Amino acid sequence: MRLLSLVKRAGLTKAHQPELLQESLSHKADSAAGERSQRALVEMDYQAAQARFEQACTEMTQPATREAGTKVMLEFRSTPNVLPLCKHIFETTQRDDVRFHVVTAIKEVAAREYALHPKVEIHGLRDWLLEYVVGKYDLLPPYVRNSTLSTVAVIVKRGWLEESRPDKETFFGRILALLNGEITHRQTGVALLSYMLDEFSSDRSSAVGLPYDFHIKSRRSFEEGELRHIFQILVQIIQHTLQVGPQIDNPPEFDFFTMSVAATEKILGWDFVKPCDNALQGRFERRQHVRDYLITANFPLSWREFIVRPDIIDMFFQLHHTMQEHDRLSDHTRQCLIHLAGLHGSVFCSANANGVLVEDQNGQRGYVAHFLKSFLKLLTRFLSTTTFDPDSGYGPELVGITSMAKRVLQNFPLTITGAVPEFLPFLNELGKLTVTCSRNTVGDSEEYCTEAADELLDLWAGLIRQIEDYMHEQAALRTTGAAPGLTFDLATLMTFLTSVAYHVFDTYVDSRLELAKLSVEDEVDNMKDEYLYEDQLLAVAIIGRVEPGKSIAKLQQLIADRMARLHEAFAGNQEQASQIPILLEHIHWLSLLSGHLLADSGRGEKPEIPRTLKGLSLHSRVDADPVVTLAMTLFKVFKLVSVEPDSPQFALCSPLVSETLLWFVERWTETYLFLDCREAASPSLVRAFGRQEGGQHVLDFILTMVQKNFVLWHGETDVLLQVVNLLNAFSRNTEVRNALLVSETFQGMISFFLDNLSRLPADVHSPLIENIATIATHATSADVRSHYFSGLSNAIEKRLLGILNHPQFLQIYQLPESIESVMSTMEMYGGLALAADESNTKEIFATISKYFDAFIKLLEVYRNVTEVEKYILLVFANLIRCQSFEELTPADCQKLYTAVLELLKTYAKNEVGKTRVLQAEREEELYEDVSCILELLAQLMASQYEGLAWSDILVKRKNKATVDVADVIFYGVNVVIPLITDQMLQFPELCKDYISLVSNLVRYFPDKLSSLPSELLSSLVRSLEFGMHNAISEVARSAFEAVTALALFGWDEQASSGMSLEFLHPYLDGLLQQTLEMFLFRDFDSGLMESAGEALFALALSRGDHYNTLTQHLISQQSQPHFARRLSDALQTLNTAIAETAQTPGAAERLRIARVEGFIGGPSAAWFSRYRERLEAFLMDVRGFLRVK
Amino acid sequence: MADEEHHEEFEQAGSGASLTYPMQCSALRKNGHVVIKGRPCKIVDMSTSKTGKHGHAKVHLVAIDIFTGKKLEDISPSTHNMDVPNVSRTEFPLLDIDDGFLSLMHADGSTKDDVKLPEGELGEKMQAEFQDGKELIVTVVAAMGEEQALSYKEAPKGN
Repeated sequence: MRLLSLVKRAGLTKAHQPELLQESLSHKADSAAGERSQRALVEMDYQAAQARFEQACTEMTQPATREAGTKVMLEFRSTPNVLPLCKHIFETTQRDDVRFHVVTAIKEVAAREYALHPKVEIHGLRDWLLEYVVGKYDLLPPYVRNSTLSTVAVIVKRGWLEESRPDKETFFGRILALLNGEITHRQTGVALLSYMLDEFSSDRSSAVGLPYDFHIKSRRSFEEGELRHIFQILVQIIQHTLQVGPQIDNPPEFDFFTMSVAATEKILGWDFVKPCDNALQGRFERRQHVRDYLITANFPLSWREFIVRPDIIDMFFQLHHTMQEHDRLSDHTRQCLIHLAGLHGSVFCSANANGVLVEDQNGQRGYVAHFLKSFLKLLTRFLSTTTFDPDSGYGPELVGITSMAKRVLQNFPLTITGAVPEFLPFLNELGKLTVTCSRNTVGDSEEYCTEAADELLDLWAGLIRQIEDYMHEQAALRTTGAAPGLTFDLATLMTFLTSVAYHVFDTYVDSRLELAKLSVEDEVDNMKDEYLYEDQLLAVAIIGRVEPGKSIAKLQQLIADRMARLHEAFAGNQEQASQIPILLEHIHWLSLLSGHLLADSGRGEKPEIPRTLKGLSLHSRVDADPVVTLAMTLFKVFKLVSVEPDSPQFALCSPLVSETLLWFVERWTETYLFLDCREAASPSLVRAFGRQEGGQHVLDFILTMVQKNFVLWHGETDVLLQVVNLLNAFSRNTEVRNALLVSETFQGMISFFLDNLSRLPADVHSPLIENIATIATHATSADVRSHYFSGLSNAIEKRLLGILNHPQFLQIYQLPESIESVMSTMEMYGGLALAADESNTKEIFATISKYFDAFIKLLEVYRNVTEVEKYILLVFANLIRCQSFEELTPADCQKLYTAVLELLKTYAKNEVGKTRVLQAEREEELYEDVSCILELLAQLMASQYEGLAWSDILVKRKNKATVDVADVIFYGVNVVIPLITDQMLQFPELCKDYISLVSNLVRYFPDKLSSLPSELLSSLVRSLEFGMHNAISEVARSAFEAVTALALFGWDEQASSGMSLEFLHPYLDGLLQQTLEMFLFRDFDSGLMESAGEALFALALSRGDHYNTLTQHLISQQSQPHFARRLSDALQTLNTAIAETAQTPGAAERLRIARVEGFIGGPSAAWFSRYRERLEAFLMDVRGFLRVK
Repeated sequence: MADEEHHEEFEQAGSGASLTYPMQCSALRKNGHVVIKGRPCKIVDMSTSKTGKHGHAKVHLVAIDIFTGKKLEDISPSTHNMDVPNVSRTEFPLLDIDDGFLSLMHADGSTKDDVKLPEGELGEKMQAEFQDGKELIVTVVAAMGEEQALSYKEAPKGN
């Protein structure tokens, strides 16, 4: 704390002399004796401050005092005008760690206070730091050197947009001079360039508290001005070094060379500013950590003559080859090659006669040909020399090679690569590499090989997709009669690919089964293989389908073998029985592989039969179609493992295998079950699985298996949830749905489910009912539909009545079986509600609404059993969320609103006196009921008013019936607000729900706010303030939207139609102050710029007088007149923008709409953009000096 | 693997005034009740584990003794039955506190004097508030032949 006062005294003394540097101080201070003593005072204070700073540095190294030391450091950095002291400490301290900390402080302070100091002083500081490093390069430890140069780079970037051309040239002249000097000078020069590349890059720049726009503009200017020049200098350095031979034995020289290559790598991976990266659309988002090949190495046309050159490619391959022994350097050269492999953008274009950019295919082809020639050599050399011995360090090179290969194939179209003579030899080597990696995924080398194998599989799958697309294009061209645009020999490529693809598939399957032996002993991982290895499985399926006959035959043979062995094991063969875990694991994997090979995922639209499988099936004999046989074989496996529960084999069975087989059936069903001739399926497929032919039989078989496994695994949640997924797949197919509803097996299955629900894990109750209800309510035939649905609803109703009508219900309601029974019945109703959609709302609503009163009664009875409460609330929440309000009659709506009101009243009564004890790790559950109520109210509001204009909302609200929905909502809000505590708002989900409820309330019922008791209103506003500062941007955005809506209500006299808004003013004033403070003094999430800016606008408009008072107060608080003047000027500009924007023609109308929507402009509203720009300029201008407080 | 599993017929288990009720382990719910080592407990955590990738699920239960607050754990195959205690919660107006016992009033007006004043902070607070003249409602929880006052609240005004 003493440091701060010391620093302040030093700063205060200097207020008379605003110069930054001590040097300039010393020139002027000689004149008067008074000033001399003044200076002595400053120096004395400096010494004391330095001592305290050094002490803080020491404290930071000790765990016990670290916190205190850090605090001093942070205070130091936020002291105004601290730069002269920083410089003093940097210069005079004897300690490197102190120098490091102080230069880090300079970095932050110089960027923040940049605008406060004359340019010459900032330049002086920058140059002084640079020369300090130059002069003492060898004496400074690397961490001090680096942070000092990084500070220089930050200062350069901060002033970039304000610097004149000659200023920049002078500075670059100095760097050039360094690069031509002795070795330490060259090292300093290249390190500085490297830090500047970081500062101007899209993802490595330091935070300087300035808007996105500043970064983008600086980056663009740097790209247009210096980047290419730096690239040329670095290339010259590398070329020169390669010519004279790198001085490997001379560490400084070698270090300089390595740094040069590293800097070059940064340029090759540069993320150029795109046209869309402007402040308006780009906002504050940063593309951090996105290293997609599309983003980097996208070079503009102006780079063509510098980078699309054979000698550049040769240089990097040569460099990589010569330097492969040097890990650090070869890491950089490898990355350079990866970037070159992915080179793209308008650099491959040329301007035609009209000046329009056109793609230059010849240029690309030439580039790829040259690249592949060298790459092929590298690949061949790697394959012939690598032993894949884990100790040989082959890993990075392997991963690098796969990345390069992937970039080339992703980046250049087949029409380019296919025409290059080296392409097939290259693919051939790549095939060898894939097979080698696949084999090595089992064994000691697995780490890198697994990663590379994954990438390579993906690469092959990508190539095959490219070929498929190309063939489609060609076919389309032929149908239009146009000449096919063949630029390469597709037939040869296909022949080649077919053999490689099967080889890759075959090796993958073998390695997978090999790995399976290991994984049965592994710890059980909760992640399912089907998700964990999804990418692999998808890629392998695509590869396998290139030669489907052989791939299917391979799986078929393996499955048949494992099935036979499992059969023997079941029959008591001891030898096979000892192999059971491996057999089960193999069956699990073979089912996964078969599922992927035979069918695509049904997510999204209905998947088609894969093209090559259709071809295979068409060319097979009707009774020997491999596509049919493979599925049938897996069905046989399913039958084999679906044993009787009391049989001795049951102990040998695996729930995971049943689950995977059910998954297979689900995936397979969506493509093959009930297919018909319209889908151009082959006769054999139609015969085996068609609706009119074998399909019915298969469906019956599946249902039987489902039922058996349901009994067998009724304690295994995962298996049961997979059954639910299968039912869901059934429910999406009309034909299958209809067939199910006439099937006796299905009928039996449903009764079985319903009768035994209480014995099943709770997680499956609701989804099971939901899917059954969906199937039942979507029957094509009205009779079947009503018959089935009434069957289902009667069964549920019977359960409910069984409970309610029990003569001794009030005596037994607390018994566990009663509670369980009530909960599962509520889950059934909840599941039923989930199945509601526009086509079945009427039926479902009728079924559920019949017992609204009973549910509410149960809520009352079970007031002490939170679990039961939750399920009852869920029935209502689900119903309101899923049902379609348009389908309900006014009477239905009345019934619903009355019930919800009663529900809320009962809930409120239950809540009286209830305490919630927070227990660690179970916090979320504690508030499940509150969550439910919040959701219910939010949904109810959204269902009524979302998307409506204010006038329509008023009309809707005026059509009062006996129970007005607005009253219901308001009643609910009254119940729920007092329950919300600050503690609850710490939970992200709950906070999100609550803020969005408040937001809706403010948008749809601002006129009713005055009727809220004042403590409720202030609690509501407090939660908005809390929301504004919430770390989750979604919550904060929603809070600002609510503030905007509230402020605009305060502004819009039409909406308030004469009512006094006096009560609202204190709240709006508070919100205005908070918003202003956040903008000016606090760190804030730049993603909120838009919504917070709108809130400020609305508040300023609504509370103009208070806004003026606040801003005048701010100005008067400034201790220094020039700050006050700057702030006042900046505010003047901002205020003009607010006034002008508000007076734009049509603005009032737009703001009225915005009040109901919660947001004013959105990025596309041109009328509002002027304000937004001014606000950004304002913040850029004033945040720097306001935040030093 | 799961050689000891038994699959009884699916049927409605008979109820009665027994102290416990059997339920399949996998169908237990978090926050529900279960008997572990002879004690009535509330389940605070439920997770499944397997012996090996293809093993049958076992349910791991962590529960708190509803009377003593002690943490108990159990692991059981998911298809086995476990006992669920009959837990009843009854609210009584508090009439008096006498010699460490609560005097509570039944709905019919008769008194119930066999429930002890809870030990520790809860009891002290209850006593203090009662002596302040507040009307208190005490919740008595009974399970497996044991009975305790576990919470109380102030009676709603105007009753």
